Amino acid sequence: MDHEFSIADLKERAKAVEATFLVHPGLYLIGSLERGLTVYNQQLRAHNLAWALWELHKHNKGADIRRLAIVGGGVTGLTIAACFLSLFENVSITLFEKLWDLCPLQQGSDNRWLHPKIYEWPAPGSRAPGASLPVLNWSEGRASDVARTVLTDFRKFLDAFDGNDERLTVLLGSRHLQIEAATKSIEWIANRAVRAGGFFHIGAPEGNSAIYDIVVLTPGFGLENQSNDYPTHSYWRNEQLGQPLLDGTRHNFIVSGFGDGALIDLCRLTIERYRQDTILYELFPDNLDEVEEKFTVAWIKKGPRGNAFEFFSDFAEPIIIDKAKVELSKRIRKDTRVVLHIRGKNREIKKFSDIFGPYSSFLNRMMTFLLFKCGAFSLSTEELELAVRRHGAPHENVLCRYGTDALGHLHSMFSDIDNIKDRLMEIKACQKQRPQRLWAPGAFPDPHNRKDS
Amino acid sequence: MEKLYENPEPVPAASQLALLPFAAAMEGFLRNDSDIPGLRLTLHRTMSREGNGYLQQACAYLGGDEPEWRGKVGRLFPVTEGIIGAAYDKKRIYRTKEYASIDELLPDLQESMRLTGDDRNPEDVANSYLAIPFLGAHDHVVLILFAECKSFNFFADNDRVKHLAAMCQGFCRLFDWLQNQPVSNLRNFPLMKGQPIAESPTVYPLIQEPVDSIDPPRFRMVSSFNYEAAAA
Repeated sequence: MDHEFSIADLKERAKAVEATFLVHPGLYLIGSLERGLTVYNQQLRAHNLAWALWELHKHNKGADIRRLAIVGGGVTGLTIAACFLSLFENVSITLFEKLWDLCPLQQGSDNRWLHPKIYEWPAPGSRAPGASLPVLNWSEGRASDVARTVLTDFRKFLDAFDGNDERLTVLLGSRHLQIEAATKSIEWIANRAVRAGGFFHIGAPEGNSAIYDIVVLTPGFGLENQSNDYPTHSYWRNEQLGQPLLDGTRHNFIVSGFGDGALIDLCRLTIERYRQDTILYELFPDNLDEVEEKFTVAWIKKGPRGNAFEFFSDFAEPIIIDKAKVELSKRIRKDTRVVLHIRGKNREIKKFSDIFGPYSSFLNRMMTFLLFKCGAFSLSTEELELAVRRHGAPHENVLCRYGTDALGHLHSMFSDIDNIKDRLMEIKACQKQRPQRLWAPGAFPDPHNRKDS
Repeated sequence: MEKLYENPEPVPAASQLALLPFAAAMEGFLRNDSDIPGLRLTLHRTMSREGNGYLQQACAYLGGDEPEWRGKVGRLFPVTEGIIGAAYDKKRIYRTKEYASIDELLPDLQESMRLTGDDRNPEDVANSYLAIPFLGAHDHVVLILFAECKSFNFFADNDRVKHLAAMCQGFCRLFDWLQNQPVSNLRNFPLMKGQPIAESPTVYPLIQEPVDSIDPPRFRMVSSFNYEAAAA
């Protein structure tokens, strides 16, 4: 636990935690503007905020938190809803989701692998497949598996803590949602949903507004920025990039970007039989524990903003890197030719090593470094249009992975953005919403363990 | 200090499944062919959470008509909790010492409960306890077997405790082997060592004793117990 939160007095710790999420009195934001946004990290933050508010309001059984609005029906939104239902006996929750079901991004996403902690690799314990969360727990798997697990567990929380369906209102398909930060009021046009077990029927559309005691924003990942010329399917949609081509030819691809989404697609397009869940075991079959330990020690010295290209180039035991490179070189895809386009939004990338800053996970940077050593892809820093022409990639094989515009998305929600825009910038700059377990152990009632069950 | 540990936190299903058959075998051994009133046993593991070390109940209680898991599996305790805390601290087997009669035991039990702030009715609690720590290669505690019953002097029997310790040592040998030869898709993902969270010890001071004549079981390879099902 970071020093600033390792406060023995729980109320004081709760105050410190709550402050990191606070945008405006009664208005909270979970993640979105933090770096290293993962499903697991967002869930940790949701636990932390819910616990902090409970710790600060439990003296009167949360009597001053009666009406809670949660904006966003993804994993984070469901997690904080379940946390509140289990902790605050008297709270009523309204959950707003823009799409037509809960956890819509990950549902049916069979291509994408979710692992709770691998983003932290090589940190000790980062390969452990279980999230070990008291609320909406899950283990590594396809995104679709994780969505299913989370939704199934969410239903258990509803059954246990809202058996009469009186405490949670779900509004789906919201095509208008405007928040006023100063009054904590929300105006919406959406469809009220009716729970049917673990599913939600759509009821009649409605336009309405209400004032809440607390509003929690969980817009999460949101949808990605799109290139006007080369629209790319969302990261979460199923496609065939990871599958061998069936027409016997070699295809040209351009992957534009250098965040995790781009680097994972680079791996899928360049490595045969690539699986995010097994690649570490395959690259370091005999000494993964030892490699982890050595990387960890050396990487800590480099610091959190260290450049991984320099790290791997100068690593004290080059044999470790060389062996992994040999393993990887056996399995470079023969049916693709891939260009990694790394110009940057403001042309900030001048050379390849520039992308090895803190823009992606250590693991994805290591894979990119090894692929580079294997000569598995080409590089381009020119205008995307030029790169496409030069390398002869068809339109549909140009993948633009430019991340999301979280700040723009947040701005679009508020009618009085001037009241909060400075604070949003401050939250983005401070990066204080630590993805750590800051809640007191054993704080969250488990739906399986209700005393009256 | 506020009681923090009311609700459980998850223990991986694979870890529970690795411990339950062993606990069941021990229960079967203890019961042999007679009923042991109030017998129940479970295993705790040492675990860390954000740098803090706790004891965590890692599987259900066995001994009753069916496993007792609701509200139990996953509970976190300070490392000073009861007889398991004493076994953790001293790295020795702990048990209820031998008494000449139940009438001599009961006043000591009552006084121990008073001293440790245990406000339960003495008639409701067990009168025989056992805690066997499983040590790791660096002499730290990995697991602790906890057993209790209302059969007078039950764990004061050296032969019985020796048999249990031998079974535990067999368990250690197996999991040392599995550490290097894991079953497909089941791995022991290491837990970091945490700074132990200690409160006032709550071992019953007058009736429990370390067992110096029987060594606790010991792993050679296993340093923590956290089996999880994994894709690779």
